[in-house]
Amino acid sequence: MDWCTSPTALVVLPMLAAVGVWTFPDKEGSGARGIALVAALCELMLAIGRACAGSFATGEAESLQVAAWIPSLGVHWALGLDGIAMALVLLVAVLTPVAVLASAGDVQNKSRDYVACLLLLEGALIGGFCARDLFLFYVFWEAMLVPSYFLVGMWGGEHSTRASVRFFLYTMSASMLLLVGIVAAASVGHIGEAPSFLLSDCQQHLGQVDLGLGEGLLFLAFALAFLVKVPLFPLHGWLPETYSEAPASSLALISGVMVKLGAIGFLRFALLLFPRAATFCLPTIMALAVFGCLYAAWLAAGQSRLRRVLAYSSMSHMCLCILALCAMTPLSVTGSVVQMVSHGINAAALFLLVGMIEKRCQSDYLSELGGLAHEAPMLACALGLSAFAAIGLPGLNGFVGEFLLLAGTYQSDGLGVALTEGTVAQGGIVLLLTAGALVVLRVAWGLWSLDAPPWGSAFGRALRLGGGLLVGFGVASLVALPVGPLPAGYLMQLLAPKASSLDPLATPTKLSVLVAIASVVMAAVYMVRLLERTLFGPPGAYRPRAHDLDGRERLVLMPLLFAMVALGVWPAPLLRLCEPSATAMVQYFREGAGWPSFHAPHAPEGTKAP
Amino acid sequence: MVFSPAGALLLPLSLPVVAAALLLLLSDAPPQNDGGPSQPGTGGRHLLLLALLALCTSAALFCALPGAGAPPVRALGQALVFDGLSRVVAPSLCAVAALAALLGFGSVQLRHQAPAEWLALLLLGTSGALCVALAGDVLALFLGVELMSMASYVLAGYRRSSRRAQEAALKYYLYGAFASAFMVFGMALLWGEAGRVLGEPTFSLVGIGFAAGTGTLQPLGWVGAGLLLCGLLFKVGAVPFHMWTPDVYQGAPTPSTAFFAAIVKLASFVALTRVLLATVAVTAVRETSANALAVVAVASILLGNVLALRQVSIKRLLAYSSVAHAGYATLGLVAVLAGRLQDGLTALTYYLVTYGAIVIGAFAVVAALEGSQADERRQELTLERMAGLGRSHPLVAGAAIASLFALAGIPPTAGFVGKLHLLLACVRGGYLGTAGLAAFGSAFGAFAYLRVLAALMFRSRPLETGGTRSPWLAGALLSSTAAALAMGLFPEPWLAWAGQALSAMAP
Repeated sequence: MDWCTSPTALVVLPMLAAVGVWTFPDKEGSGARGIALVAALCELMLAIGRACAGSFATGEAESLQVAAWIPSLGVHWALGLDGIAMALVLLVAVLTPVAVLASAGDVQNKSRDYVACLLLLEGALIGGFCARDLFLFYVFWEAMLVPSYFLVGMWGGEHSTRASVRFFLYTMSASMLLLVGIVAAASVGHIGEAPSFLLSDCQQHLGQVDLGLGEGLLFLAFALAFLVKVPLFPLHGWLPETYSEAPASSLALISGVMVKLGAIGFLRFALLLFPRAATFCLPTIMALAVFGCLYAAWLAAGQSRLRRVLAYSSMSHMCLCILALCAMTPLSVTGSVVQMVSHGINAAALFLLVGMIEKRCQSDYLSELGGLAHEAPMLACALGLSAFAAIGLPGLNGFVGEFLLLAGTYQSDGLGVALTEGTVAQGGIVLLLTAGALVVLRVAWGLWSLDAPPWGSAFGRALRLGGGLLVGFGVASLVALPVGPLPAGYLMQLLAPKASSLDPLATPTKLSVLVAIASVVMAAVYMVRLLERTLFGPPGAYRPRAHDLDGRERLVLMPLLFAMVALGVWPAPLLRLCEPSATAMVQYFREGAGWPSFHAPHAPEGTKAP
Repeated sequence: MVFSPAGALLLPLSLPVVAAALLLLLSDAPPQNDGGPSQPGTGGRHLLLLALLALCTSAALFCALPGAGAPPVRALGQALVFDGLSRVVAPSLCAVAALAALLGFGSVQLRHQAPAEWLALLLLGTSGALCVALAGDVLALFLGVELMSMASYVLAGYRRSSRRAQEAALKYYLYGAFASAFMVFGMALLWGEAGRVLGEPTFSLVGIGFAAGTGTLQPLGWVGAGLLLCGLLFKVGAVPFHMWTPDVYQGAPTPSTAFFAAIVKLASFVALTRVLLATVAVTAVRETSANALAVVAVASILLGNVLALRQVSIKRLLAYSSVAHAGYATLGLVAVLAGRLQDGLTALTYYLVTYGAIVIGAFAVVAALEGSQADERRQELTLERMAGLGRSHPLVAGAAIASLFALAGIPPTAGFVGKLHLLLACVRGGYLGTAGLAAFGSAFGAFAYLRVLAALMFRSRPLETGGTRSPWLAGALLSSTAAALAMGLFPEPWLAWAGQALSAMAP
């Protein structure tokens, strides 16, 4: 049954299912949704089967399938899965059935076509993560655009047409750049012979020729195309409108996974194909990423709509991931991927919760919500847990990725840090610092915000909330401390300068990560503000009374909340899945770019030195 | 085989003309015009079948001519040549014409007109286009262009009651007459110069190419070649010779517009390729001409796509889109001149054939959504007027998605493979900047097509026009959509087929 779990099957099954659902006669009923749910669950089983069948220990693509598709153009149907791709494929496979189930709540008309679009999007996303051929990747990249365009445009809110057109325009212009880049990358390496779009061929050919300025232009074409999707700071014009208008259940896939394909594409196709040109451009991208994550966090703190807060929060987190990818250390890349998976789960949960809140309150304006904690305690708990996970509280999944990527980015001067399961626990100090900052800032916010209630109550509520968080942090760190080595010593080691073999970009990287940490703190600010406005205080005057989660909604949220806790407490499987391929990619990049290769002098037993 | 190969070449070429004459003989009774709505496909079905039969037989006879490895077949001296390029293009022309005939028979705009005469004109125009595509000397080329154009002028003004159609016919005729005069003058100059160099007068492209290859052609000869190329660029509607397209495309009945966009363009590009290969490709001005054509291509793509953004009328939008697509096809000529003969020619041929099928699909969508109101201004299909029609016409909506995505060059349609192949040929010929600008222009184009789709699918308004339901139209829609998808998903056999354009290419 090997073919069953092959990447081709993983890609083809959802697409076939989408076509099957489309031919279902009942356009509005729930029959099509049921079929789609079954198909998505089958896909999830296949993905889990694939993950269990592979070892993912070498960092090479496993179960590689290469067949000629258009021989005269050098195009191959080439699909393969390395650890990083596997992690993200699992994420899609988990989120799709959840989104299909959730769509019963927020999509009423033409639900058959809606779930077909979701399945099509799933297939295209999985194809994008697996593709090992530039042409094939582009096909999936565009194929992903088409269903998402319809998802936003046909089932979106009031201004959805404008949002979808803007979304399409941004990504389409970027895609055209990508197209030229792909064509050039496939042909410059070997003018005389037939072209080949196979990724390994392109890597080999591009490594042999020196294109000078041309390589820089090619890198820029690739990088821009991918970074629009992420989005990096000045390229985010499509984000607020799309996230405000799209149906919530589609945002689980769009914000949860689609933007990650941009980041992974940036890593696999931009950085790894053009390491030399990347070295030249990385400081700029890093600066934009740092500025972007602070700017987006700042904007998120001032938004009046729930969806916009989450939109900018998502952008802030993704910019942080890009920063970590730019640092190109095994730990930072692993952390970045782990953070992408975590953020995928958290963002999906948050947007699904927004959909549920909108259904109850007919609005997502913060000013019209409030008091949900009394009326819908379970919904409030789920929202609180997801928000805490997004902030990066220890014990929840957001912390793992965020800590790893910050630490990994900081150590970009060649200081090796072992990757063990205990690493997560070693963040005690950072977590205490965060907690302290959180409380201080929360109080300050309560005092300063203009529309807050009078002094006493704001202060009191802030103290209650802050105190609760503090206790939570304390308990979490007490649990964490004995597990790993002493955090203080670890931190000292991390901060100790190692000048022996400096990366060319070590100094800007270190500076940028120090600045970027502020965005983690700001995340706490805007998330606490969001919770404060939605859950506590007096109920909104113009909204109907909300009821609590029903059975279907509980079923929707359960897997996501479970994943948040599970990955936060026991991230080891995910780390083991991602670390080898991250290390291999970093190694390849550093060789190509002429950076010092990464040795892990302090690697404890059991970890693989690259 | 009774016929000699030359005779076998003349038979499929003249078959459409014979069928056109038969059609005119058969349509003795004037069409019923009692003012009431006539049912589509009730009258004159045998006429359509006759036309389809002629076109299909013609295509089959072309396919039956000697295979890919054989030397080119010539007829009437050097006048007609059946080489690798013709082997691909001639059957495609017949097939696309058959689709256009289906479209014309289903369209509401021709319902109260005489179908036999329209079909006869279509067949005459198609045989002219075949003559253009197969022309081996400039005289046959000119005769073909004139036959094709004369039929086109009448097709443009076919709705006699419509002032827009009359305007379109007049404009097309006036501009076209100028272009023909340019062409004739250019041919005369070329003929004179080639005769001077060779010592004997010659019309054949082989002879002209031989004369040009000697490098002793005087500037007058180059002026002649330039004028000839300008005339052909006018026919394909490339910038700066595109002025006529929007008005003509908008005013002419939709099926006639489809004929201009698909068949006239396809045949004229083949002639352009032949003339270019015979004249500039063999000489020192090759690089200069490649640069000039690159400018034409980029200008067409940018201008066409940007202007398409602002259009409200769908047919005007498609007119500007056809200007842009002329630009894409010109990229193939650039690649050919830049030395990528095999790549460029394959890409160009594949692109032209797929574009023919795609654009027929697009105009079939327009025809299916058009209303039949008496008031002419309300008849025109605009973005406003097509709002929400996708919800009530799911089949048309599906075809619209496929053909607009194909025009925008989004995978997995044939438009994507064609565009990618053209860009690839261009980049490999060293024109990276041209390819970059072309792709930049496509982003605008994609946006323009997306506006149409958004109006069709996302908006919901009470319907103003009911649209047209006709089995013939559905046939044209389905077959062109299926072709666009099949050639995009499994492009290899089609690319291999288009790749034989170079083999046994003459001269």
